[in-house]
Amino acid sequence: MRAPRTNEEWLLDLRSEGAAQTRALEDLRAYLLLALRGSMKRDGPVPENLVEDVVQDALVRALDHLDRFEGRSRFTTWATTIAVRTAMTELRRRRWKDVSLDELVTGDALSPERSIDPLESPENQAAQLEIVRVLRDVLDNQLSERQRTAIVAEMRGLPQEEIARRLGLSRNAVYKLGHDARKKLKRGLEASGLDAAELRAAFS
Amino acid sequence: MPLDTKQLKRLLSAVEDTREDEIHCDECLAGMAEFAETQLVGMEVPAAVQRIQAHILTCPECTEEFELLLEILRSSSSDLP
Ligand SMILES: [Zn+2]
Repeated sequence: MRAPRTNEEWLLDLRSEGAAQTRALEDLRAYLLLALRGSMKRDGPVPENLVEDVVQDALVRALDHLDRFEGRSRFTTWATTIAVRTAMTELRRRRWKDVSLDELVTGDALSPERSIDPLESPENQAAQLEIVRVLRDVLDNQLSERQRTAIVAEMRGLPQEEIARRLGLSRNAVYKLGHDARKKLKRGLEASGLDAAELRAAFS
Repeated sequence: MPLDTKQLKRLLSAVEDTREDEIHCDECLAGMAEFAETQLVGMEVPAAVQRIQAHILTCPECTEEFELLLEILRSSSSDLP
């Protein structure tokens, strides 16, 4: 068996044409197949053709973005990050395909009846009620509709790229919506005079 | 349906961890390999990679991907070519 390639050799081979590139692609394919086959099984059986399709997509993506590899890790680790994202994106798409975004975000985002823990002490329940009041005010009056949709759906567990798919946006754009929502919620809590320690104590 | 207590707690902790200058998921992915390798050898996180670490704290999807990557790298020393 030949010695493992250095980062420079990976780049040189993958950028070349002909036999060296073909060999490097085959080696990278074999590496990623082995890596994903072993690890994707942890959430239950994964169809073999899914792993093969994911690795094929990841190879194309890696080849397209070779100039983004800055040499700050091993090349195979970098390629694995691309394969992992490709794999998780596909798994999430399958897992959430029947869930409607509207159903997750329609209606009140918070309510005293459902959001407050009835087993807490009266003091904590009172504090939780105040927190819910402040957050609701921000959610209903200070967020754009998309910011509210993003943050509520995210908290209900819908992955950002699935929110993105349903809104026709990129995952980055949904992250930004959620981030803007969190910043406004944080400012709302700060403006109301509730500090981090009080918040934690209320839900201890 | 309104968020339940558990989801509300998750919202509060996400809000608490929020920073003004977070990076997005693609930028996180670009630095994830370097961050994972430093984690595996127990190296101190380089300043340039701390933003990756902060993003992973607030992003459930990147957390999931990072954990899968670590798992692969941990097994790669024994199983992979
Ligand atoms: Zn992310």
